[in-house]
Amino acid sequence: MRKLPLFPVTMVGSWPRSNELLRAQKLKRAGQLSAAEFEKLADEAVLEVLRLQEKAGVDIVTDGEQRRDNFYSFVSEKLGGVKLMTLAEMLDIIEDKEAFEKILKTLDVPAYSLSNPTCVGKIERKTPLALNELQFLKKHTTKPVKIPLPGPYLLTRAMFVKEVTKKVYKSKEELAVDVVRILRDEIRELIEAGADFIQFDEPVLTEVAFSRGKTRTFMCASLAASGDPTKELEFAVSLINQVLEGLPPVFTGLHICRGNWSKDESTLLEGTYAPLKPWLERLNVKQLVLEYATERAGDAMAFGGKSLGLGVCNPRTDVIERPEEIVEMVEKALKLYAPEQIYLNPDCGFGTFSNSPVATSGIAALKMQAIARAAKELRKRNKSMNRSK
Amino acid sequence: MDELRFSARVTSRPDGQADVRVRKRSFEVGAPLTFDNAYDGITAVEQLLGSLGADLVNGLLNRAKKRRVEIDSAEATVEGELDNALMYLDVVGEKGTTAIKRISVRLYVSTFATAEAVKAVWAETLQRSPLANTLKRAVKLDISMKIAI
Amino acid sequence: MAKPIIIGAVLYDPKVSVIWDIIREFFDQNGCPCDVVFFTNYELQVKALMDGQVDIAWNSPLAWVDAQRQSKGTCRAIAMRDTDQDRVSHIITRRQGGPKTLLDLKGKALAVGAKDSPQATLIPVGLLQRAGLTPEKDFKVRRFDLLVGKHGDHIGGELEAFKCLEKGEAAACAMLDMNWERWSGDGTIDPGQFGILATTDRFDHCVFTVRKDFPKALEKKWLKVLFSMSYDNPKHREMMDMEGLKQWRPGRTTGFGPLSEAVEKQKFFKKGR
Repeated sequence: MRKLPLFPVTMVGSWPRSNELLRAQKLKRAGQLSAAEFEKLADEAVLEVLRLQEKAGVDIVTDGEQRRDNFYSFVSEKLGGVKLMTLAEMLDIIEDKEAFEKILKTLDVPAYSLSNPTCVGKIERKTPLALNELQFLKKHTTKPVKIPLPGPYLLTRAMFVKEVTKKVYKSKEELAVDVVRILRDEIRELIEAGADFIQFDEPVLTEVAFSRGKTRTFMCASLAASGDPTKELEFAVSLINQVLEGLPPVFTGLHICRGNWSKDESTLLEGTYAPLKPWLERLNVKQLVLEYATERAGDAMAFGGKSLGLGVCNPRTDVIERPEEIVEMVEKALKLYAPEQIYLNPDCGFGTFSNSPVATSGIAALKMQAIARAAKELRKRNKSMNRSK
Repeated sequence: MDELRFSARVTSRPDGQADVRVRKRSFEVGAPLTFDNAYDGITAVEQLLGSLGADLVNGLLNRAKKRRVEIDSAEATVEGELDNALMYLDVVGEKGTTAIKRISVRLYVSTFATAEAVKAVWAETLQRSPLANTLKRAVKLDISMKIAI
Repeated sequence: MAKPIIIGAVLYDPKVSVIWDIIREFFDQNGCPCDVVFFTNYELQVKALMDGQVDIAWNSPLAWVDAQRQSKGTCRAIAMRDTDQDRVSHIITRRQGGPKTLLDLKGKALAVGAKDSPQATLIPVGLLQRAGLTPEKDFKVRRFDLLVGKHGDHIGGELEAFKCLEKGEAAACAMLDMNWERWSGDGTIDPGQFGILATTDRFDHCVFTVRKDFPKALEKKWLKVLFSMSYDNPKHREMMDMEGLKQWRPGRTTGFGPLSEAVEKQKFFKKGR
């Protein structure tokens, strides 16, 4: 990656879409707008998001995921063998309806508005997943570019809907072989095209660690058996490391969070990174992009051999964090990390799900500005400290 | 005024379900209620909640069509809460009744129409809903609506 | 058909009735018909057991102690889960700046579960008493009285007690070993910040209890069916997972010492509940 200032400011991924773009997305899905027409509108939206980031002082930019419906379902357009199914359609075929109902209730959205990329055939890459996003950005900015990609574990778990996928792949392990291959091909092309930072999004890891399968017990809940997440976490680590093994060097990160679908914090998961630590440390990524602005994530901790993408603002609140508060958070993290190991970012995207963004574009811009101001102050402090040494 | 009365004929079956016959159609309903997610039937309570949701979802879409307000789709989640579910299980020492004490409805509407237009049709729907108007006399009925693109 | 055996159980959640339905069905199929009567609290259940309205009561450890007290030690503990045996509770504190010994709790607050929870209140408070500390004199007891009457069958009180410690409103809290393991594994508790200060003696948890006049032959027949549940049998496994066990074991009375002692010292039954 090109030389960066200390405490580089970056995004996690998404930026709220305009109503016009949302309408276009919908028309495209309904077959009433061609892909080319949509891309033209999306180009304009990306340029606007780029302009806002540059103005705010963001050092590593993204395209705000403007072309995507959400951070992972967009792959259904790019992959053969994958069908975008609404949750309403899935409710008719899956056994565990209760879990889906819970998700919908928490998200406060109708079942027809959420779509899942479901594997219905042998999967193959029809077109690259995010190469077009990178190429477009490179044409319009000189800043380093981050490309967020859904991680292999997330994709495998989301796409493997046993009621339909089992006809093609016997197990999720079998499907994962193809997912890994597809992601490796993608990353090779992204590196060739000059991607500066590739980030895997694996938000389900917290769900695996925090919501262990709890069995009802006929006597007392205190003696209920709890599910062991070890097997799933091992699986996730092995997939991510397989994707990266032997690839040309590139800056890589892994983003995890505890949900970003609602402004109601009580509906989101809660817990420290402690139960995930042993697994996160074994990942062959260079950086962990973690949320810390929310109290639900606990205090910062060190992860061996990893730099930190420190979440310093909460994308779900309307209050803009003060630069001084952000500086204070970073000072705390500096007790565990060297200055060059800390990047600054929001806790998550500002518009993870296109039709239910957690922030407006205006708030997103103000929050990124606050982070950039804090970064400036931190650089100043660091410089004077070095001088005094 | 017999034609203004609506009726259903409900006949028991050996498998614990009941056949409900209305006009030229029929459907089946199971136990009054269940706490077992694996129960293979639709309970009377679920039927009631579903009926209320359908009354509102279809009521809204029909009225929107009449008023030329374009609505793509609508979905309602309906939740009912018993005064004391343990009374249904004959738990010794429990107090209260098995009545539904609260029903909450969350209605989602997908539309590019203006919020004002949708809200007007929605208000009309609520005013004319046979089930919402009946139930609100008996239970605490919380109804909310969310417009999404 | 033979007269069904009446089993008593306290219900903390209507969903639990589904599991009892499955158990009832299992006993019916195995030629030992049972009916289940639910109670809202253990006090009523123990009374029904004493009055002969139920034959077998699925008792909490405190209900067992109560039944023994009321029957003058004549009830029989006939079966329990493997998971009911040899439990312990921990006293949890902050690793940094927290008390280092039980005696350091002097003048401080201990957060506990409901007043009738053996694992989250009575036994842990008993542990401090053994160390020479008197509750409400040497240390403050911050109780989280959730669902009193159900003897801590739920985790609510324990979780509230931990949150109290987390907020700095108590110097320590009490919880069952299984909750410590679960919560420090699932991110609820950061084991880097909180640790175990002390651990109680081993104790036993729930137990199927009968009166002394319950016919031995009937008991034998019922136990035969209960012990025929095998975790290796896939048909039984689902049911046993729901019940939270891998094996049914004969009941024993050796594991109620710490609770009996705590109840005695804290004058639990004398104070009124």
